[in-house]
Amino acid sequence: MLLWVEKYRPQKLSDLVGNPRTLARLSEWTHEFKDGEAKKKALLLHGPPGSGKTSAAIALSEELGFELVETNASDVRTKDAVERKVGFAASLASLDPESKGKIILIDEVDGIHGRSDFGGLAAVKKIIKSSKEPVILLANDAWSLPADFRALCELLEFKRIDRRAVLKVLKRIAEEEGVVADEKALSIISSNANGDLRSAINDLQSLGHGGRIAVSDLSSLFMRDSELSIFKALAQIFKTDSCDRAREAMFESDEDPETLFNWISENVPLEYEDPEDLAQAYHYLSRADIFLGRIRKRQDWRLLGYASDLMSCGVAVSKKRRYNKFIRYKYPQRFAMLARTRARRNLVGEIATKISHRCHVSSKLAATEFIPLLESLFRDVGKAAELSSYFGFNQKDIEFFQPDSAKKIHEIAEKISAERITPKTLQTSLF
Amino acid sequence: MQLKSTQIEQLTKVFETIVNLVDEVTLKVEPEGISIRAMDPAHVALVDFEMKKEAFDEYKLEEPVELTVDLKTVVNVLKRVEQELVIKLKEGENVLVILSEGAVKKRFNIPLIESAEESLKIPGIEFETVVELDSSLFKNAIADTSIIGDYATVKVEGDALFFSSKSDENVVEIRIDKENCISFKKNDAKSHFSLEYLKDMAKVADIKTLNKAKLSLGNDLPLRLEFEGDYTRLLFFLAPRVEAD
Repeated sequence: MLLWVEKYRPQKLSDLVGNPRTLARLSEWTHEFKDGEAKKKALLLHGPPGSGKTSAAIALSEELGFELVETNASDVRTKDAVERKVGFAASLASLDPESKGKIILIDEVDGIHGRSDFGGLAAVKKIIKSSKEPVILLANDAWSLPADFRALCELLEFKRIDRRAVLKVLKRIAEEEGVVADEKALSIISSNANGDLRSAINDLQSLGHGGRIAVSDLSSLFMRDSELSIFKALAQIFKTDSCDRAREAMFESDEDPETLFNWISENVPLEYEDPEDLAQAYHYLSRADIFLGRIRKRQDWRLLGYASDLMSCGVAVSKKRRYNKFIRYKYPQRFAMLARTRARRNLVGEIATKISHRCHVSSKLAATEFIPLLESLFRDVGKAAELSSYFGFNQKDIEFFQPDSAKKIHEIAEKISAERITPKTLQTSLF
Repeated sequence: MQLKSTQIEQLTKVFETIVNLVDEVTLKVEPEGISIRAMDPAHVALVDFEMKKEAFDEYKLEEPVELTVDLKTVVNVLKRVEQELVIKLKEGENVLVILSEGAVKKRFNIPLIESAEESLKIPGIEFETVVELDSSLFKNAIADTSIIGDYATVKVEGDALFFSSKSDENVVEIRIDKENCISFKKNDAKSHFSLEYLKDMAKVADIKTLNKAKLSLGNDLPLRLEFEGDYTRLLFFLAPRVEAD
């Protein structure tokens, strides 16, 4: 199947969206190079993915009728490979004696640097210096390249494509493909792409194969890769009868055991219908949880093997039969709750720290014993102000205890603090 | 589709030469025979290979097909085939099946790749100079020149074909006189080529059935190098190096 990204790749520079000045300079430089007037022998197009770097290079070669010789990141790019694939393209003439010229395109040069492509960047440098043909390099992050490498190139920056421009392109493609799309849905896809036109078009294609896109179809768009890998691991653990397969799922997943534990315990009841199966599964999960707790407390990572076997094999063998149904696994409530309460928990932590300094107790004790007490004391505005001044609470801290009169309490507390005799005020009053 | 052959060595060696230039190829299977046309990633070498259906012991084809494969895998598989080779397609799936028939029966399934290649045109160049010679002479000349340099100058001057190369003070010159060539259509011509590519192409000389090499030359023009045997033809084009001097 032809990717729409390729099918609708612009044939002319003027068909590209965004970055007009950069594109103008690109074609200007190519002419300078051909006339032997270019100051730098290579161009480095840099900018975020999907901002039009590759499309610009392709459109340029189409427009000038030049042959485009490209290598990309999927190719091996050791010194030898670069010399062979790119070096010859730069030093040898074209196969077609009537060729107008070539453009040498090297994708993701920032990926060559430092990886297993040992010596690859040095080889590119050599090619730039000796090439008879214009060399165009692409990079997401130009600043990760060594400075002496950058110095060989003229840098041209590509910026993210504006959301509205992305929307316009999506609309045009949807129309040509006969996809009936909700304006709102297209607009969400456009903003979700965050200036990456390529990913927006890919999203459009994957959602639009049914010929129709509504806002309700978009949920799959927001799933991250890591979630996908978790779904696979969960399905494997829940569906298999074999201990080995369940353990495999656990090890192949990128998530840490604690995260997986939460995902499994959240989703077992959705999968296992027989209460006995479920009870058995939770029995093993509770055992796993005990081990996880000991690991956390004692940092005794030797216990991890027991925890992960219990939560994977244990759960897998708890069922009497396999449930053949599709389950949309849920995001663990625990994580959602932790995220929701993060701001509040941080605030409690700050308040507890302030109390612990004054009362010479641990902040944990301050949180569990002192804060409930202060909650009652704060009902009286005068006391609240005095206490706030004593502990050095700011307005946000006071809001935690008394959201309604926080401002007033804070003002009084400020006054009290100002009047309180400190060594410094004592000094000024004495002399 | 079902193709059978006992001439496995030739096909294996041809593919081995092509794999030096490209990783993926599209093998066209048509009523007249099979063919491959491919260009190397640097766009400086082109290969065109044809094998007529007469070269096969059995050639059954319902409709023409294009098979894009990872050539390295195919070469490795072909090397393991003994006695008789059978090439089939798995019904309904994009899988190429290679069987080795003999005392031991082997079966290899190779997945087909989605083809992205647009059709390639053979450069239409009129050559004034065409020299045909024993392919082993050509291979030796390339082997000799590559001891010295990275590039070879191939020229026809008077009644002889020259291969030469130099680096620093080292110089090599090979001269093959007209009398030792099979045919000689002369017109002075001179071009420079990368030996790295020529070396790979010269390996064809090891294939016994392709023992004639035909070189077509011009001044700073690509090299056209053709090896022809019974029902088989292997053609290369190689871009020249244009020197400033």
